[in-house]
Order: sequence, then C-alpha cells, then structure tokens
Amino acid sequence: MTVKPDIPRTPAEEELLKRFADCDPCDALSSLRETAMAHFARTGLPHRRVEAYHYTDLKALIRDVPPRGTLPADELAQATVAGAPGWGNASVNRLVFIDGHFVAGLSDAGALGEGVGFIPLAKALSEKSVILERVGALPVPESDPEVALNTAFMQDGAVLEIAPGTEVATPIEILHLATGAVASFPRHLVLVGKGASVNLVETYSGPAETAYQVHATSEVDVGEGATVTFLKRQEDGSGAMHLSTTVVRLAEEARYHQTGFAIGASVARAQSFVTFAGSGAEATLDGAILGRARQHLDTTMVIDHAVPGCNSREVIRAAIDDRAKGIFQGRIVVRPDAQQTDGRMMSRALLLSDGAEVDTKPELEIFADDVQCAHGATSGEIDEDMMFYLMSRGIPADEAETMLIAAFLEEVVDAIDPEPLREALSARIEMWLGERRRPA
Amino acid sequence: MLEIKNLHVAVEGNEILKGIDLTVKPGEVHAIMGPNGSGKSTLSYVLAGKDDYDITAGEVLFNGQNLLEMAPNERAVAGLFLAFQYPIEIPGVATMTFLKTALNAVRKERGKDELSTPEFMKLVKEKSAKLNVSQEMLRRPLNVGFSGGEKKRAEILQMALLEPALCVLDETDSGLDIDALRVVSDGVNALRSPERSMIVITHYQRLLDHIVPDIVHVMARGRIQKTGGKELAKELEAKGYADYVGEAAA
Amino acid sequence: MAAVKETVDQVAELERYKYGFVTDIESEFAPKGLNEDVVRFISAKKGEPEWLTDWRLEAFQRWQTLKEPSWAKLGYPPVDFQDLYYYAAPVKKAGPKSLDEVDPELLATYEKLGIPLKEQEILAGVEGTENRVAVDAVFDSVSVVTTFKEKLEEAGVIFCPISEAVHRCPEIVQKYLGSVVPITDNFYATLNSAVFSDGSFVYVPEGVKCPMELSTYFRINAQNTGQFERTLIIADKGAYVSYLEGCTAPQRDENQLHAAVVELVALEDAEIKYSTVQNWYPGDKDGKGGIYNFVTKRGDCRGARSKISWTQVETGSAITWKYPSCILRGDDSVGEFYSIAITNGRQQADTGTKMMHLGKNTSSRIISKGISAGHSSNTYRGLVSAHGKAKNARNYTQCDSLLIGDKCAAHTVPYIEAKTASAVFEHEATTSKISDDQMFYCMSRGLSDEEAVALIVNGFVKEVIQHLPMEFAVESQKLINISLEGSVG
Repeated sequence: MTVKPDIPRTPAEEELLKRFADCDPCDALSSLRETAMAHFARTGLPHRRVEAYHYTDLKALIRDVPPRGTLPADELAQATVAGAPGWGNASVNRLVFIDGHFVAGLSDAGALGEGVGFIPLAKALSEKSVILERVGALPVPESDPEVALNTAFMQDGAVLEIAPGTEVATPIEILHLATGAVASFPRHLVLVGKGASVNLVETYSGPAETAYQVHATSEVDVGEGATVTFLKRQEDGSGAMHLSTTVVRLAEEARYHQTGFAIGASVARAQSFVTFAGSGAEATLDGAILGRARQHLDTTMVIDHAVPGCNSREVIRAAIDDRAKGIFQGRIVVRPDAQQTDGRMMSRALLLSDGAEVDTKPELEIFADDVQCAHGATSGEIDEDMMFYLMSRGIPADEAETMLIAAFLEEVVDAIDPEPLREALSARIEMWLGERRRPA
Repeated sequence: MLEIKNLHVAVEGNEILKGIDLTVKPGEVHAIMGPNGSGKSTLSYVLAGKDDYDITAGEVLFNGQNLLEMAPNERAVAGLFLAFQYPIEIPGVATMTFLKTALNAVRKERGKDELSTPEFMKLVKEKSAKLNVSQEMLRRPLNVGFSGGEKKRAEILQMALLEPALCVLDETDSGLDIDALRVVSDGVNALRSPERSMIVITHYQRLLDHIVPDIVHVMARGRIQKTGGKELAKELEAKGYADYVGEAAA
Repeated sequence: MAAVKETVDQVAELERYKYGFVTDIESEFAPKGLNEDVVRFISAKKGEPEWLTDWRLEAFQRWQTLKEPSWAKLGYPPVDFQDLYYYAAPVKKAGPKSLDEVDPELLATYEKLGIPLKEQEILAGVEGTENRVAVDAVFDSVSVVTTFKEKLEEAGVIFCPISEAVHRCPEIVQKYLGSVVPITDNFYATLNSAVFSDGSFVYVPEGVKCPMELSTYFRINAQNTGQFERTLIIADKGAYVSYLEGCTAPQRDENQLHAAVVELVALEDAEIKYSTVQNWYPGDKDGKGGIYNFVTKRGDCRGARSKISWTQVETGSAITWKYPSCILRGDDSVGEFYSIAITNGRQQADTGTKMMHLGKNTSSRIISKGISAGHSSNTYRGLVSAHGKAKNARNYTQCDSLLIGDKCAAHTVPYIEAKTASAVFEHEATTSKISDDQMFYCMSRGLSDEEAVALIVNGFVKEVIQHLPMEFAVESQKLINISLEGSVG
C-alpha cells in the first residue's frame, strides 16, 4: 500500500517535481540536489499546520512557479542595473545577479581587493571546483522546504572566500535584480577566515507588478574571531514573491551583526538560521519591517546556542500600514550544556491602520539551566500621549506621526554599520514615510 | 486673551470641572492653586487639547478664537503653550531634531521663514545656556533618561523658543529641589512681558515666591472657590485647603 | 474481488459484535474498545434523553475522522484507544491490597502533607476502602454535605453531578453543553463528548452571588467521575461563583488517560473564578506509571462586562496538556490566567492559555510561572489574539521559567496575533536559574539547600498563589515544596 500524503499535491508542487525530473541531474552537486528534492517530495510546500510556516502558508501562496530566467542581453542588463536601488554616497563593490545569473561585465569582481577570493557558483559547478564541498555544509533545520528548493534548482551565485586576517574595507554588495516574471534560485557561499572582517550586503529589487520569484539561500561561515556585518535589503517589486534564507555558523569569538530590511515584495519571507559553534561568540540580528497595501512580510529567525558562553540579541521593529501583514517568529534554542548563554529578543510592532495585522511568535527553547534568556513583544498603535506632546508644540498630526514612526525604527536603523549604508537606508525609510503622507 | 466661560468637563461620565469661569488679560500672571484631585491638571490638558475629555458645556476663547475646536498643534501655533507636569519621553527622537521641527512648524504657520540650521543652533545655544541645559542633553532622545529637573528645564527651553502668548505651567515645581526651582523660575520670569500671559498651576505656595502672580485662584472640587491677590497664596500656606474642600463638600 | 470480500467480512464482523453485545447490556462494564455501541451503552446506562445520545454519537463519528495531535512538545508512547475501557463500572479494579503495596515515595508525600491514614488509603486506591468511608474520613459526616446542599438550594444555585443535571434541568444542560467546547473542537474534547462519564454541573441564577466556594463538596463529588470528566458551569447575568477543582494530595488512579472537558459560561456582568490544583500521580522517578492529563478547559465571556479567571497549580501527572482559555466575546469582558506549573522527575507539561479578544474594550492578563527540575520538560504555550472588531483590546503577559538542574528543559511558545490597530499587547518572558548569589545568601543564614530552593521558588510563584482561595494557597505552597524535593544536589 502506498502512503498518501495528508494533503494532495498542488499543481505548483507537481510542476516543481516534474521540472526537477526533467533537469540534467549530472552536475557536481547532483547528489545534494537529489537528497533535497527527495525531502521536498515528502514534505511538499509547507502549510499552516507546519509549525515554522504557521503564518506563511506557502502551499496556498505559491500558485505556480515561473520558469528560471536566462542571462539577459547587455543593454537590458545595463538598464536594469541603472534602475537598482543605490547607496547614496556610500561606496560598495557590486556583484550583480540578474534573473539569477551573474553579470560579470557590470560587477566589480576585480575590485574586491587582496585576500578576497570570488568565483561565480555557475563557474565553480562547471569546473567542478573543490569549493563545492562547502555548499550545503552548514546546519539548517532538516528538510526546510525553502532551502531544499534552492538546493535542487540553484544555478549561480557568489562564492566568496575572505582569507584569514583580511580586513575588507569596502562593503561587498550582492545585488539581485529581475527583468520579468522568472524564478531565480541564487545560492551564495561566504567563507570568512580567522580574524577577518567584512561588510556584506544583499540587495533585492525588481520591476513593479511583476510576478517574479526569488528563492535565495546564502551560507555564511564565520571563522574564529572574525567579524561580519550582513545587511539584507529587500526591496523587491510589488508583485514579487521573495523567499530567502540566511544560514550562519559562528566559530569561537566570532562577531556577527545582521540587519534585515524588508520593505518590498508582495509576499516575503526572510528566514535566518544562526548556529553558535564556538564559545565566546556574539550575534545580533535586527530587523526593520515596513509593510503597506496588502504586503505579507515574514521575518523568521532561529538562534541555536549549541555551545556554551555565547550571546545573542535580536531587535525587531515592524511598522505595518493599510491591510498589510507583518510576521515575526524568533526562536532562541539553548542546547544541553550550552551553559552561560545570554539570549535576548525584543520585537515591537506598530499598527498604522485598522486593517493591518501583526502576528508574533517569540519562542524560547531551553535545555540548560545556567542561562539568562528573555524575550519581549509588544504591538499597538502610535502612542497617543506622544502624539499629543508633539502636537502641543505646534507639530501637525501627519508630521508628528512621521516623526514617531521614524523614531520607532530608529533603534534598528541606528545600529546599522557602516554609517554610509545606514544613511542610505534612513533616506529610504524617509521616502517610505513621505509616500505615506502623500499617497500617489 | 483667554476667556473661559462656564466650562464643564467630564471623563468617562464623571464630571471633573463643574463650571469654570476665568478671564486672563495680556501680561497677567494667574496662579491656580488647589488640593490634589481638584481638576487643575484637567483644566491644563483641556486648554492644550488632549483627547479623552468630554466638554459637556461652556466655551473657551483664545484671542477671540474658539479654542476648543482647534487641534493641539493649531493651539500651539496660535500661541498657547503647556509646560507638562510629566513631559513625555520619546525614544528615537533627538531633542534637537524635535526642537527644530516644532519651532519651524510654528514659524511657518505664523508666516515666518524657517530658520536655517546655523541660525537655529545659535538660538538654541543662547536660550539653553540661560536654563542650564547642556549641549549633551540636547543630543539625547527627547526627555529619555532626563532627571526631573532636566525635564522641567527642557520644558521651559521649549517655551522660550516657541514664544507663546499664553503659558500654562502645570505643577512645574513638582519634583524640583530648591536650586532647580530657582533656575526654572528665573527662566519663566525672563519670559514675562506686557504681552505674554501665564497661568501657573501649583499645589504649593513656594513656586509663587519665585514667580509672583497678579491674581490667585483657589480651585477645589471642580470649581474656582475664591479669587484674590498674591496674599491669598500666603493665606493658603498658613491655613491649607481644608476650608475649601469642606465648603465645596457642604 | 479481494476488496469486496474484505468489506463483506467486515460487515459480518460488525453485526456479530453488535448482537453479541446487546445481550450484555445489563452488565456493569462495556467491553474494551470504542464503537458506536459502547457510546449507546454509556448513554443507556445513564438513562440519558435521546438528544444526548445523538449528541454523543455525533461526537463519536467526528472523532473517528480525527488524528491525535502531535504539535505539543510532548513525547509519550502512542495511546491505543481500542485498548481502554470507556465505561468501567462503579466497581473498582484491583488496587493495592494495603498501604504496604503502595509506592513508598507516595506515602512519604502523604505524610508530609499531613493526610490521615484512612484518607491515605483512599487516595492510594487501596482495596476495600469504600467511597462512603472516604466521605466520612475527609469530611466527618454526610451531614456536612447536606448543610452545603441546603444553603445552595436556598440561594437557587444548582450544583450536582452533570448526570443528575441532565434530568433535573435538561433545558439548561442542552442549551449550554458543547456551546463553549463544541464536539468538533479537538481530538480529546471530541472523544470526551462521545464517552464522558460524569462531572460537575453548576448553575448560578441571575444576580446571585454563590454563598460559598464550590470546592470542598467537589472532593466528594469527584469520586469515580472517571477518566472522561465533564464539567459545565453557568453564571447567569450578574452572578458570581468561585469553584475549586482538585486536591493537593497526589491521587493514585489506574486510569492512565484523563481527557476532561470544562466549559464555563459567563453572561452579562457575571464572574466565574475557577481554581485548580492538579496533583495526579506523576509516575515514579523513572517516569513509570503516571497520568496522561489531556484537558480542554474553556470559558466564554458571553455577556458584556463578564469576567472569567483561571488559576491553576499544576504539579502532578506524567503528561499535562492543558490550555484553560477565555473567549472574550462580550464588550468590556475580562479574562485572566494565573498559572504555576512544576515539573520534576520525568514529567512533561505543555500548558498555557488562549485569550481570544472578540469584543470591544476587552482585556486579559496572563501570569505564568514554570518551574522545571530533574529530567522534566515544561512548556508554556499561549495564544493572544485580537480580531478586527476587538477595538481597544488589551493584554499583558508575563511568563517566567525557572530551571533547577541542568537536565531539565523549559520552553516558551507564545502566539500573539493583532488584527486591529487599537489593540495593545505586551508580552514578556524570561528564563533563568536560581542564582548562586540567592542560594548562598539563604544558606549563609542557616537554610539547607532544599529550604533555600523552596524559599526562592515560593517567592517566584507568589504572584500566582495570591490568586488562589485562601485555604488552598497555604496547601499549595506546601505542595510546591514537596514537588521539588530531590531536585537539588
């Protein structure tokens, strides 16, 4: 007797399985891909009864998956990059991916400097590079369907190796752009050597009202004593579906600061899995979520204290307007023996309209006793007393509201490092707030 | 300048103000004294336009305008200023940014040009020095982590910058030690002028040693029970409010 | 062909079973397992009206389509629902012959709680100790009960077993039974609806303040309510009732699975206070034996300005799965949940609450204190939600976990869902151990380590204890100390 799945497969799931079967499986990572797809065949797209996806039912949300894109012609590529979100005065070295493919001619791969190794994943695959052994090596929750899909269909991405002790001066931006309704599966691998430091940025953008999909996975392996900042700027187009996963492993004494900035896409889920693999490490994961219209913005993170003596901090701010939905799920896991763990998480949500919705699930999962763990979560509308105070000083209501929303996001924005990137994002938030006051 | 006529105010069905009449002329300083729960703070919030209060009867004219129909910011622009008993802490908003936004909002509505940043900085420096407000304090988020005295000084600094026609000081002396009281009072006195009026709300007489009023009102049980000169404050200091509370209750 | 034959055989089997069974209708217990006939048998035994039989059958049909939930952070061997007795007689099955055969640790606990020997025997289920004796032993005489009854009747309060209420006031039972926890609710509640044995029924008429805590009486009433207990409490407009369930003494029970349902209905301006002390047998130190406690408790603040307050002290059972909840339907209604959950040994608890804000200006408060020791696992799971029309909903949640020893686990899983801007929700949670400094300080003043732990833990849970009726607050404190024995060192 064959075991029937609890819920019948959706057309999108059937299509994905068929597409995988039709692919040429013979590349250097075919066994990894097959394992991933076997997982996917069992689980399918996650639905609301799958605890981790309770608020983001991909089975219902993903009706179909557009085909993977091809490398665009030069002119189109240039025009696409010209329209990408900028960084104001900040200088960054860009690695440009359009419709999932690396565009060498528009990238600054040559300017990354000494101690920074870079190879596009597509090239590594065709050359059967030894570095491929490191792909899929970091711990992710078993059979996470998003990671599984990326693994099954990944074609290209950035493989970066920062040599031990290298201090990379200029931030490296991995820029993802789309030209039309395609699905991309970018896979990045960043290996940061002992004592090195680097500022990484991932930017996602694309045309408005276009049903493109991003299924991205990044793996960041932070070596002993290394320092990494990771800024994820999600400004995908209004019709896009953005699903991205960041997998991080921190060695002893490593420092990691991640900021998720979610402002774009129709449906987005940005998930992070951070594992402490060496003691004395510290991680800070912040998030600023700005939702409007009917956006669905999910930020999910799992912080796994697998070893003793590490600190984690998470600060989340969500400002949700119109009929948008903001979701935050954060789980701090403290494994047996991970004594002297200090984990703290604070999420606050501001509902700016009566149709807005915020769902929060902050979890603590603790298996060791000598720990200090806490989380807090609040949600509500703009504080009346603050509004009154500002207005009593002559500030008009809409301006007072704008000030208070900006102030609410300040704690996350203020922590963004380095400063020029922070200023660019502040300007972006101001723009969002400006649009709010003067609806188009 | 200000005319309050038969003002009745209720909160969730409980009447707090039961018919207040008060006229304040330009340049006058009125003190309103009264025991806790007499409705003093309610009056100040109603004048500034806080929600949650139901005006069940009466009217308030401010330079001929119907004050009760105006939004809080319109009242501020028109020249009304409330120094809060408990200034609100707003994390994430730098005090300096706030001062500049407020000042320019008020200037714009009063038909004046916005101040440039250097002009603004110069003005703030000048005014803050007099009130013993440090530059470091101005860089901090608005009222966050300010001591009681710092909060009150920051209120008076705002008052000095916004140049209101009518200042309402709600228990500005509460939580101040004698030195801080002097600094704040000097700041207030410096703003006295023949055009500017003030309503000083306080429980204790000691503030009135520093800010000497022209007229003193005793408020209890939602009404002004007695009006007199500054000597009335001294009398209250000696006798307390017992007479008025009893009188009202009888 | 094979499939057809299979079906034919199955039908034949069913028929045979059915008829074979009818002849047995006068017997004192239903055969092992669960089917429609067993449900009919239970209903017939109780002389229930047809609507209730149908109601049970509907639940049973529904139950057959359901799967046992697996989302709680619990691990236990699967329960074979066909290997249980669903109507197992007033005649008890073999228990220990005397106290000599009872788990000595259990007896030690009784002694510490100061329970008289006779009562110890009853609690431990020693054979030959009859129920009536139990009543006498605990409460001196039946006349006490009678006094209570008279007083309640004077006030118009109906307080009786639900099986009796079905006959005494069928229209009230029919109106409210299953109106808070519908038969479709969840696996265990549906099972309970099909096969519930007995439980308490309370109706407090309009404007009546129940003249006493409905607690002492319950201890008597609770005898033999069995494993599928059903409680229904209705406070009519402006009524008030405080109800205490349970017992501080650990009760031995041969029924491993307990799946109770409690429904509370508060109409306009009514208030129900429901306090629980749950101390079922947790199993021995290796986790053997012990009760599986899968309970569905829910209160419906149906009327405006109504209030339901749950207070629980959960120290017993091998496995606890329990979320006393409030549906805040009436405008300005209030829900409260105060909980202490202590796990030690191999115990597992997954408990918390749901506060569902539907009406305007509704408010709720959750204070949860979890203490894990030994190899136990203790999970707080809670939902706070405000629907679109729940303007100005307010919630405050404080959820603290204390870990004693490095082999236990404490989890916190809150779900917070706001669908209206004017809802203000605040949630805080902490997990920590007893600080070495606190321990050192206490011990340097002469306390033993166990005394020090007890002192600190009592401080930790104080906020909840304060919400218990006075007489049980004291007992509960004692109980907490005992529950934590052996957790230090």
